[in-house]
Amino acid sequence: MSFFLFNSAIDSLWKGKWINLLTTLTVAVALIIIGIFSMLLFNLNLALRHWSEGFGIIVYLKDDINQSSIKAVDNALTSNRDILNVRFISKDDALNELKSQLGSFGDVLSGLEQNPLPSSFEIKLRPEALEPSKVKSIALKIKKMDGVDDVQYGERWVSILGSVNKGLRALAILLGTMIALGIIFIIYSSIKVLFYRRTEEVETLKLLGATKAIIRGPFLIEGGIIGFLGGAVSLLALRGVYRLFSFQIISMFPGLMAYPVSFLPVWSWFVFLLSGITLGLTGSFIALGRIRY
Amino acid sequence: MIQFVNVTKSYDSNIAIRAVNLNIEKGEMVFITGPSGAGKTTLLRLIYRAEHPDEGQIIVAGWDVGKLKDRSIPYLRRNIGLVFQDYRLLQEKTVYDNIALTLRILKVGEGDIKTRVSNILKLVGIRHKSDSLPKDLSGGEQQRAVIARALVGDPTVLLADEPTGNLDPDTAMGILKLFKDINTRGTTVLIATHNRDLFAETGKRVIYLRDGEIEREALG
Ligand SMILES: Nc1ncnc2c1ncn2[C@@H]1O[C@H](COP(=O)(O)OP(=O)(O)OP(=O)(O)O)[C@@H](O)[C@H]1O
Ligand SMILES: [Mg+2]
Repeated sequence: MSFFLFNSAIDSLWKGKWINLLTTLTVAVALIIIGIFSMLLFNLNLALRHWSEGFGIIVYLKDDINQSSIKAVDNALTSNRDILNVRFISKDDALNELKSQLGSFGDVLSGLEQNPLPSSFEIKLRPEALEPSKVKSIALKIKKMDGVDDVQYGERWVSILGSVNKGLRALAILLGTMIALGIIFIIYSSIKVLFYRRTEEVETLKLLGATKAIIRGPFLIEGGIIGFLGGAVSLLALRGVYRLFSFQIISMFPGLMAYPVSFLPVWSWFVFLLSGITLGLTGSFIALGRIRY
Repeated sequence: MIQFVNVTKSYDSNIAIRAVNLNIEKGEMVFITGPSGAGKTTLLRLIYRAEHPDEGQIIVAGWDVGKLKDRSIPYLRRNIGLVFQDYRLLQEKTVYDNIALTLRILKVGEGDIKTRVSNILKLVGIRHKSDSLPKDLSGGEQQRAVIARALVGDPTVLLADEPTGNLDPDTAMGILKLFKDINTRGTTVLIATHNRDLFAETGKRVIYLRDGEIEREALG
């Protein structure tokens, strides 16, 4: 890139500093909205992952099941790639667990002549497999196995989780697209204003033999810089908001948040800056339109 | 250097240039004159492809101007220096930067630019105004700055449309002398003007236009 084009861009940025400052701040505000939303989504995802680690499916075995069938079910479960972890709970284990949960009331169980609780497997799925349809199909498959009596899992919870995830993703795409279009439009209008303001200079450049690239260059650089600065300002502001409010959020939902709220991951900072630049370039490119001699 | 073959150009129903044939050799100095509305400006605009001919062929420095693609126009214009009646200097740039613009477009390095601008300012006689803004210059000085901007890129042709229109007679004669000097150095010069004093007694070719047609030709 030639020094001259860059110089012209900086010159023009400075000459239109108020409109450029306003545009940068508007772009920053738009990106902050995207940023806050991304932060919410990101943390919600972390939280869902955290909660889903506790999500289990219980496979109740038939009372008359023999040792080799138990082994067969165990093998089938362990070899399933969607299953993270398998734990066998024998009839005695189940009874002991119940007893310990009942505490001092546990004595009532001592009167039983035989153990009424079935043996079972408790399995944990990988977080990626926690989709309503997937969980359902896994559960059905297990239920059909020899010696399996019943399969239980939080069906409602899984389906809520699934639709929340889907809804948020759709909302994020919609909101993201709308705000991106908004940013392009903001940059479009300010570059248009700057371009009209410099009509005389552009006409002179044309007469002196400037190519389209030379005429467009400074405006594109300008748009890119505004977009980049908008991205940078929004990141700083988001960081500030995060510092100020992350503690409040934790104390607001003490039970819910078992761990601190996270800031956006580092890779997403680059996405922010790059999106700023790209949107800035796009806006200016559209604003310049066709250049005719 | 500049060749018109049967060139016609009209605006809507109004014919500005009518079947003009013209041949200007390399190194010539030629005046185009005629009453207002005769088509002088249009003829010059056709040369640097600000207008597209309706009919006929225009060759400038080897370029077939009528067939030129949009993206080639800048390269045609790099061979042509332009001077206008209303100067058209960029008001917020110094004289130096206005002249340097021509070279910056050509991607000349800043070191070279410095020498070439300083030489050309000396040639047009306003070296002491290098750092001034156009508004602080007299009309004659502004026109000298424009001529410097047109010349600094070493064009083969210099086109001037009414270059002395806003200047008093003495200043105008000074500018004329400058054009003559430039022509002596080898640049082809074409000047459109309705000021007879400018070409009187120059001994140069004068083309008389009327209603878009070449009425006659004479020596000034
Ligand atoms: N952009 C335009 N649209 C319509 N008609 C035009 C345009 N430019 C020039 N004309 C017409 O073309 C004719 C020639 O105009 P031109 O400007 O070439 O004359 P000129 O010889 O330069 O006159 P002047 O001495 O007043 O500058 C005139 O009748 C003018 O009205
Ligand atoms: Mg004219």
